[in-house]
Amino acid sequence: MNTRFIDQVFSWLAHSQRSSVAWLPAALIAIGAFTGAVGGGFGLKRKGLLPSAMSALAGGLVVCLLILELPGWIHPSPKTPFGGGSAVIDRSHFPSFSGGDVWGAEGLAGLHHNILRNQLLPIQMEAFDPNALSRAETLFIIGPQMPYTPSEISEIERFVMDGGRLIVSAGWEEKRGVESLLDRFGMSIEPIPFGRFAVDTGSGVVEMPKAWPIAVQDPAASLCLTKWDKPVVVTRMLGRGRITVIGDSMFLLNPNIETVSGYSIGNIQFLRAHAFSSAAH
Amino acid sequence: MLSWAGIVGLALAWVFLLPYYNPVPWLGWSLLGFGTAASVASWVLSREKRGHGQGFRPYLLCAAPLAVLAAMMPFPESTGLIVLAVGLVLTAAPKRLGEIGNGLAFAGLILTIQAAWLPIHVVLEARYHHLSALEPLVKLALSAFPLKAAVGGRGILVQTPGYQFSIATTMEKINILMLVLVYLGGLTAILTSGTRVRRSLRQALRLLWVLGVYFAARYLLLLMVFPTVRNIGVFWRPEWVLGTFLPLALVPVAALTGYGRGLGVSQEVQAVRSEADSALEEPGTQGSRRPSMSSRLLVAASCFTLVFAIGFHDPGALKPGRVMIDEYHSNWEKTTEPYTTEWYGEDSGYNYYSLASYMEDYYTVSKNLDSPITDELLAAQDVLVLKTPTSAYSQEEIDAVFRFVRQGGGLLLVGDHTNVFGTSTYLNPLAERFGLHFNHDGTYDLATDGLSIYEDRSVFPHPTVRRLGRFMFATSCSLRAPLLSAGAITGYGIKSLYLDYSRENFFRTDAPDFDKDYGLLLQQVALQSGRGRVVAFTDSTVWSNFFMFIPGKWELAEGALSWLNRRNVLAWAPWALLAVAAAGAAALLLRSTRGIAVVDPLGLALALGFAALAILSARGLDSLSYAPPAKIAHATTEIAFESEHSNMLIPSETIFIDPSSAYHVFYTWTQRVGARPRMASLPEAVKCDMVVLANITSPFGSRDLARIREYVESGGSLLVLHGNGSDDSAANRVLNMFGLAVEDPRNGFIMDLRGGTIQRFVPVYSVAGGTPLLHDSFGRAAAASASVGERSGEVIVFGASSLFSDAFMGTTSTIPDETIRSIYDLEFYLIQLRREVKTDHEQTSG
Repeated sequence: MNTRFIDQVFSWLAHSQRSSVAWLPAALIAIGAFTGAVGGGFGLKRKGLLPSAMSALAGGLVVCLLILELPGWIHPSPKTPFGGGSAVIDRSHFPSFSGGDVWGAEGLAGLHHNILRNQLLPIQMEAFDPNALSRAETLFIIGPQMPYTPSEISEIERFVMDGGRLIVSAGWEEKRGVESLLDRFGMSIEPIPFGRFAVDTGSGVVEMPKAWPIAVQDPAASLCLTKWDKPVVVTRMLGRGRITVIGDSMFLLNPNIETVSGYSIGNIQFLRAHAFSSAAH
Repeated sequence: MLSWAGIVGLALAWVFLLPYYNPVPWLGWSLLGFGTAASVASWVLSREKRGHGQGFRPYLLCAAPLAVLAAMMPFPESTGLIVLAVGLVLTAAPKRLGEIGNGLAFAGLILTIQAAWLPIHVVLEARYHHLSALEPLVKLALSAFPLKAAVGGRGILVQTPGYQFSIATTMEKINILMLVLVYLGGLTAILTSGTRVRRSLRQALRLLWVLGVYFAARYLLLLMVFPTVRNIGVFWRPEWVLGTFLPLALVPVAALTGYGRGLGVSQEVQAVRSEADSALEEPGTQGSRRPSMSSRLLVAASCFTLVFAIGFHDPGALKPGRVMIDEYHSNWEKTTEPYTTEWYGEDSGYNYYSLASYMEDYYTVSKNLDSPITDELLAAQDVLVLKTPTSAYSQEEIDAVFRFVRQGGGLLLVGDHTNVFGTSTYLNPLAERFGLHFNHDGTYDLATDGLSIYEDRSVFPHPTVRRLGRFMFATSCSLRAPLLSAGAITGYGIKSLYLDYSRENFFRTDAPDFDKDYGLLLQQVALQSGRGRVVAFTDSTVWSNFFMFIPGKWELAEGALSWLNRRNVLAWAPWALLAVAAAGAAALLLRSTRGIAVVDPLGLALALGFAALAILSARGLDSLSYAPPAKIAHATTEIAFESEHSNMLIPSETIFIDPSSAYHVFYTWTQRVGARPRMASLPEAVKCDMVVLANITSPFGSRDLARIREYVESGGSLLVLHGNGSDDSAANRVLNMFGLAVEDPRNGFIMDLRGGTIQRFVPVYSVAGGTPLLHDSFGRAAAASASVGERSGEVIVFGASSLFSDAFMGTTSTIPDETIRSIYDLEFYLIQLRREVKTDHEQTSG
């Protein structure tokens, strides 16, 4: 809703008004008034003042509306796609984060800020849109509770093959939502609750609020974070892109990344390395 | 309209009177009053229109057995029987009062029929919360509104632009209880209106359809409201329940279903009744209208058999009582580390040593420390205890346990909340062999969010909970169980919070908009499988050392083990009894179809009387079969804390107790010197080895004083703790019998056993008489003992009881510093003193 409003405001601002049509609203108002007056006069003779005047006014307004909007419907102003890099956050499969309370405990404002800091535009994808994917550099899938269709999975695979970075953050509890997707990439989540723990990776302490181990078939996959010899974050290359699976649906939520009053630098660095860096880990 | 409003009022009254969800008694009674008044008014008005007949008057005879049945039922479930009985009695009154009696009897009949549904509802809702089959329909209905919805997660996922939530369609959210109660009320009205069968059936179906539409619309409305209010309480909060069900009273049900406009008796039926009445009045003239005595007896016998079948519990064949506790798969709540005076801290409390030790008093207990469970291992056992496993059972072990049960073994499965340490994960593969499942949740009181209290409300308590009083859980999980298992503890008024793996011990912090099951949840299930028996219990903490002898806990363990230590012999009996009852009913139906009268008021009264007799018989059989087990070991000291004249708090119904009045640590620490504490009334207490009178606050009567004296003179041991809100004169009335007294209270210090001062400033009474044991900082005797009688009875008095309160002793997880340790030692000294005196005396006598 908000993005559409912003889109319209900036579209309007971005398009210069041609002087040749500046007179159009005034002319339309005049036509409307004229139509109203004619209709009103006609009505006076036939039916009575008030109903006729009202119908004439309504008719005039409809005419004005048609004249104003018709060009836009027939030939809408072209939408210019965003030229810079973007990071898409999928909200089309009932994810585990809150779309409304952005700074709340289940919000993603912290992630949004980090996406912006890495020179990308965060886009929340309300309905699965391959076009949005094709323009994105990173796709975040966070605790989806509805499974992806085979065609959606193929689109995601194509996105990765073409050089996109896919970040899946999900635990056993969201297994239904990610099972088929992860299966395509030779991974699955195991039902062993590791709960909350922290690991010093050398470049900072990474905190996992609700971790689950990941089983991975690809021997070349990189085990980025492990607990009890079981990987909880795995990365593997695919085509020109990269898939990172974080076995924790809460990892990217505000309390674990950044809130209005604090931040977790280890997690932010970890996120930057996997979601925004082109180097493989 | 009035009659329908009355039916809705009566149904709604149950929702607010019963403790299933969120009871509001004043509202419930108000609605009951309204519903009854509306029913009475409707009846009276209807009768005025359609003429007067005898109404319920011929059934006056039934009032007495109804009153007896009411006395056997829990309250307020018995309300219908009471109203019915009162109504029947009033029918004997002349004119208007008699009509009011008829109206009351009609309201009572509706309430009784509704109450008859309640046990069935408890069984169904506790087992089948989720109505997942309805969720695609709910999703379809929601998609007509601007709500993005999908079936998934644990129910339906709903997404709005700024909010999303997951919600499961459950029996309690739709309020199936209310649906059935209203329907039964309407059905009663339809059936008593005297319409022809086919028409009645049509009306009943229409009524069901009307109610279905109303309840579906209500549920959808609440779902639509939910994203705005963001509080799952809309489904049970009284204002929402009342607000969404009161309009049901205004629905023109009579017009929609076409059933008798009003609750009167139709002329058609009146004609039949008049005929029957005249037959009653003139015996012999129309003999075929009067049931024979054999018919009456058949009705009564069928009723007896049916009720007895429902209440019957297989007494089973007693086994030798060899109990094995499996430690091999569990490193939590261990039984292997003795609970001594030297081991303190949390681990010492979360420990089953006291439970195992208690079992040893009644059973031959062994512990499996290092072997996988096999047929050979189980061959010499009668009961297997699998508690809080922290590692998985292999498939071979599961098979072996399953075979053990099928061949007559008893299995006690002890789980805990929120799958902590993986207990549910490890128990479930085995539990599921018996159709059981430990859910991954924690249960709490719905109204207070605190620990839940259970008190059995059933007419036929399961043998495992026969001696259970009010029982405080320490956070259980809930269970899924088969329909034919016994919900030995079906918790009510509680909620289930699905675990949160991101929290310590996976406890979830509740949020108003977090979806949850609530109402009726299974917390202990007992089932028979083959020749064996299984009990699944969901809260391991209640048998931890620090809770084991709090009232209710040991009784529960005793009940479970006693039931498990029996092999099934009459598991088929309830079915056979039901078949007999069904055969009786079929025979009656057959007679009825031949035009032979089968039931009359006398027959009905007989049947009700036999039903009461069946209840008494089934309960009596349980009492005989499941008497407390006999002790096989007598080494432990039984310490009774007298509960009716003393002031000491222990966490029996809440853990939030004032530490200055609480004696939980003192109570529990008696276990460290091998004693078994218990709370008891004086008559029960004097059966124990030691009686503790802690802070006597109300005087004992002369009979009680005589009982205390007799107890001590016959060799008993009495410990009087005085000085923490105690009544001096009441205490001295006891002590003076033994030449002792407490006097001259001052604030001071107590000297410890090594002659040092315990650095705690407390009120201290000087103890006069007897042999001084301890002194205060003023050099006075703060504790003394006196030997009484030839059998070496002993009275010990301690005059600074505040020192033993939790305010100074800490908690059951405290690791004591030197000062606290000296207080502990003081307790151990006073408790053990008696044992030493007794031993000395026995040696001297020997």
